[in-house]
Amino acid sequence: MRLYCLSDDPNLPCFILTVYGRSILLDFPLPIDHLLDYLPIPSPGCVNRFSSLPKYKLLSHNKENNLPQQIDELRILHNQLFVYSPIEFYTLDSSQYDFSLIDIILISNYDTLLALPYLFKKYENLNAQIYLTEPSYRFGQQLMYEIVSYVEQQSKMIQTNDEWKYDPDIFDSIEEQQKEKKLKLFSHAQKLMSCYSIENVDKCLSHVTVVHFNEQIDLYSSIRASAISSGYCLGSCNWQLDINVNHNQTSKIETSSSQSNLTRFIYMSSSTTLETYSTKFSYDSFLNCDYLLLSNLCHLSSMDASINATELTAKIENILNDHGSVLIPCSSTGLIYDMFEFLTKYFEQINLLNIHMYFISPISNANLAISNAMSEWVTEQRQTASFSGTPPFKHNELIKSKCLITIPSDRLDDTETLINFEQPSIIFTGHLSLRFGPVVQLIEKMKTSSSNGIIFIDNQYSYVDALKPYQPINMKCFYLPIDTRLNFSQVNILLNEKIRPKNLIVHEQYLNDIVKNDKINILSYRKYDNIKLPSINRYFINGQLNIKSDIKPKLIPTSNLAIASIHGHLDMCDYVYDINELDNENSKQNNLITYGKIDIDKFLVNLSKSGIFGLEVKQLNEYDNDLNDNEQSNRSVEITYNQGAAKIIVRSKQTDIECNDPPLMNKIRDALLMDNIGTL
Amino acid sequence: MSDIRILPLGAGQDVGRSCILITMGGKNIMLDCGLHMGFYDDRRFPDFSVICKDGPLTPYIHCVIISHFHLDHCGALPYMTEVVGYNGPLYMTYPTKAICPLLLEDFRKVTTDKTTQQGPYTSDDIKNCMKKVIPVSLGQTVKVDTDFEIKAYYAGHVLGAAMFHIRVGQQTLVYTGDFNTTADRHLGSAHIDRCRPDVLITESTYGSTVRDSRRARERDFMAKVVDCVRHGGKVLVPVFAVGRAQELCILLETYLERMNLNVPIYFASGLSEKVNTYYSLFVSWTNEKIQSTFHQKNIFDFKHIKPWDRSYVEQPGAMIVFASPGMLHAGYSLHLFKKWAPDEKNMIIIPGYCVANTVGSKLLLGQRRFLFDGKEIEAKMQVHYMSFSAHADAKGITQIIRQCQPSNVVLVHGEDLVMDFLRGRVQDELKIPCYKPANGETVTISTPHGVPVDIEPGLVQQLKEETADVCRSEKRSKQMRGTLIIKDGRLRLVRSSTAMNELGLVHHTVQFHSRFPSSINIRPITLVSLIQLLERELNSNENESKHRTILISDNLIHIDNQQLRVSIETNGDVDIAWTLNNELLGQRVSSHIKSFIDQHTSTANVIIISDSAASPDPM
Repeated sequence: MRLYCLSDDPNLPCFILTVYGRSILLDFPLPIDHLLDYLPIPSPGCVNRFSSLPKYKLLSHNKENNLPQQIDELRILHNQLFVYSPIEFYTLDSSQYDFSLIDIILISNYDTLLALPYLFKKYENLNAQIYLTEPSYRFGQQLMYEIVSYVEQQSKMIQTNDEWKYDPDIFDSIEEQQKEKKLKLFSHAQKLMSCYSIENVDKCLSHVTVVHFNEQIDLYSSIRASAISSGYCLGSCNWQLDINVNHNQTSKIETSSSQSNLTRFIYMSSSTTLETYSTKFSYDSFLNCDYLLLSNLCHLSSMDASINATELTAKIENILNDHGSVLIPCSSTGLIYDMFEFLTKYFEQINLLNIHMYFISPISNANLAISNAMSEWVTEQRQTASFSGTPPFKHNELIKSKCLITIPSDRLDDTETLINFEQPSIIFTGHLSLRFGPVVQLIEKMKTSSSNGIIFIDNQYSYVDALKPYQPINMKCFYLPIDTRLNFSQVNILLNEKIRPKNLIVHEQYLNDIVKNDKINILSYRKYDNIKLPSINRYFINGQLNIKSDIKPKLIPTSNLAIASIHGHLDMCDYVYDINELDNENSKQNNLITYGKIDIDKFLVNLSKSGIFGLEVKQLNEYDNDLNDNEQSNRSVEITYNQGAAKIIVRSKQTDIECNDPPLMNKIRDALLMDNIGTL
Repeated sequence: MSDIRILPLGAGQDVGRSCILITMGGKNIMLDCGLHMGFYDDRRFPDFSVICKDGPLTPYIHCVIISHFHLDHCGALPYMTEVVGYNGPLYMTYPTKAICPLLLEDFRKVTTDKTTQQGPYTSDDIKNCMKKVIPVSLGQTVKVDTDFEIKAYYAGHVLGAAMFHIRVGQQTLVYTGDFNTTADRHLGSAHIDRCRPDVLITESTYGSTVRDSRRARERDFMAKVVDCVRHGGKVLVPVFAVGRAQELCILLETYLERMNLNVPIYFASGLSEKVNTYYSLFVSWTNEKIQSTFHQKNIFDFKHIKPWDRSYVEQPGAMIVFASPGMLHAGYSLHLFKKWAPDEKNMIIIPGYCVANTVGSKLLLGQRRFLFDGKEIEAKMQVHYMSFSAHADAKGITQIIRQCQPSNVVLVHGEDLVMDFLRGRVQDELKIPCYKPANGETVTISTPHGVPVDIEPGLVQQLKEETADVCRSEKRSKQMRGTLIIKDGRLRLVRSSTAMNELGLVHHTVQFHSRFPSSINIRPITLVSLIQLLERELNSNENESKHRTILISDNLIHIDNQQLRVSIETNGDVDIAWTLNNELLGQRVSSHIKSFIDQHTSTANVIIISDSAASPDPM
């Protein structure tokens, strides 16, 4: 088994696991760390103040080198360089690996599949099945549609050309000129691709196989996968891979987990022990697993999400009391459902009435409808609601009472002034990067008034950097990240006291924060590492025994067990080891195993009983190295019969019978085995 | 141990009151717990006294599985769990758990005597019963107990209907419940893996018919409805509140919109309109088309279909009414039937199966005069039967059998004659043994399976090495010797030496020797011919397994991996040593070697003479 690590950010997990020659891609998220290098672009029909920003001047430009004087796509704002073009993305695939060879794609949640359309676009021959839960599929599809429609709006606003990136002369001179102040984006500049299309999304999603939690999926005859709830969001899961599943369709054989020959690989991503609205985190089957690949932990060191939540309500209350509006940039699914219900409850408590929560996104209505149809993926408490016919979420009620207003649009016109929003209001919209989507307009509108406020509840971006292009701003600004994922202190408890994996695989960034333990072998990775996972000794192979006759096991009370000799054929058929007992009685009898020591006196009596008299018994003065001094008394003995017709030498671990007369030999054998040494 | 026993308490050669007891791997499992619509006394419930004369069933039943929410599959459940008493695990799918209590409550209301408050069970019984239900999702493997798992497959009969795959130890069984193999307007088609169960228990309601296409049936239905309302008649469609009702509502809604027909449509059912919301809560159980569009438009928000009000019954003019229940045995449908039956302008379309003894079934059998509360009513209205039941027909049932490839088929939930037909087909065409137990009759099916055993890898490795260079047929016949250790219910097969070590036993070798003094000096060349002789002599018998003779060194031969050694000692003696268990081989080899040596002693002498005679000759 090998693990190829494709990402340098543990919160952007992407791996290829190879088992028995099969390649399994674990997650394929869309990197968005470079988005802050772009300038925000307002929607069509709005004033675009960024279009008039000074263009970047190439200092190395002269008449001979044919370089342009200035570059349209690069602008300067507050002395800082920004890219002025529609958003483009890069992906984590590398040329070192032929992705068309991927057999299986396993997805943890709707955040970790957003780059898949690129993969299927780029590798025409890729024919991998994507396994994911239903919520991951439905929300993932919507989130892809959202990106497509936002970027489409942008490209309506500006036309650009890519010369600056692809002309090596120009790009080199820009890099030269920037020296220390290079943009993050420069390192991926040539890999950037314009956003995928709806067709790409649909093509990619045609490879989807929807699975349920704890469904056992036979990927290949000896590899079985199951999605286990991770508690983070609707349908989020950790993947459990059982390797060496020894079964076929006709007979499934399972033994107690401690003695099974399964190798268990767990891929853990975005998990939480915090109970929100989704099915809770389950890790019972991870205990003592062979490998645990751990990713996507909480960014913040031991910060309690509930503290920030209390803070958040206080800030919102202040702003609203100040007759301002609150802007909360956020993702169109996930935390937002918690926010709606949490805030409504809070407003009821403090008796703040007629608050309007706006949810602006092209997929707002669809996402609310989908979340309400996912009654099998919510906590037991919410399930109870759906059993009695009420949707698991309160969106519909909130919409009916005008507490929640959805605007399913990908843009806001300038004409739609803030006055159109009924006050007091809280507006949820995206994109998180503040570079595209309705949020761009809203910040431009709201930033002028100091009574308004913007609250960052997500921690993917530095809010200072995100707001930079909008400066100067008057509105209040708060950073109250709510990250429910496991933090290090929780993970350490979980690892050392509960799961106790044999091998733990983490990004090297995590090494310092993970408490070491002798029993856990820790492997760390960096980007593009190809780790060979330490092999696990197999103690047993599962097989099945087909016995036609009764076996007569011998009870051994001291060890509290029974043993029996088996004499048969061993076949491997359809990954199951089959032992078929021989039906030939003769050959079975011939399968005696002898153990223990010979009682010489008894043996002599037995010999005489069978009519063998006149024995000469001689003690042999051999010193047996294997025996201690006390046992030396029971020395080797040589017995001769009828002047050498038979000679028997009895030693502590071996008896030799020398005889050329078969009937005599048989007599001696029977005398030896009768009530004497142990036989199996 | 290696049997599966099947005992129908209901639905054996009958439709209604599905309740099948199975015993496999020491576990007793109850499949469905339904009631019979045709009876109004205790016969409507399965006879639980078969399981235990008196007292709760918990100790005797390890698990109850309900396939879907129809009363003939779950109607006796509150009676069983609360009145008779059962506290063990109880499984059904999410939608079944949601919708089941509605139908139970509806049934309770209809059957409870208004004055004495005597009924089969109470509202609280239903609530307490539902609390015991563990919901399962499609495809999810649920561990009931160690080595006891169940898994639900999509059955497509009604929302949440499932087929269950049950595995206890090595034995597997599939129970289909009711299923439909053709997708309709709101549900998908049944699907199962090629899971090769030991037994498939399948329903056989329409096991002898092959139905025409759904489209043709729909056209026919609409033509009749339109014809009746054009003439000012009232159309009564008795349906169960959930299931076919939604299917026909979607059909009417889409047709009416297209045909621009302005006739009021009502939906009369004891249940609130809430039922339709269940469809949007469990969208993943509907068909693919609805699933892919539900977030844009909710197909179950009917525009033209209005809830029924009692006062409408006297309203003149044409109308279309869906009324529950579907077999005309009680409730709205029976009430409307009584009112509208005498008018020949009206029409009744029965879209589903009617259990024997119900008004619906009598009507279909041709009975036209009915006695209600001492008053005779003659049914002059047009009566049509059009099967919209979401049951698989003969083709569908065969298809499911082909899909899952069982070793045995057991038929339930069908009429006796239908079962006979289907059984013939399964046995003749599919060549699978097929049973149709009657109620109270036990079928025992033997399931040959091995016992799971943990094999020491060394044992397999050893065998692999021993057979590394032999041909396939020899590999097959290669014997394996091992020791089976039975501890704490686990079987382990290990090498004898491993077993000895583990038990702290010291192996005592018993070795037999034959010794022949040989006056001649046996040269390597003679050893080679000795080996050839042994190979030939030992392997002369075709039926025995082959022996392998290997020359290890100048003075040592091994036969069968050291089980027998022939060594030539320095004084020229030949020592043949073999271990216990190889006496026959030892004695055979001894006798061969003895005669070989005897023979050689004579010929060797000759050679020596000729040698000495030749040597002086200088040539």
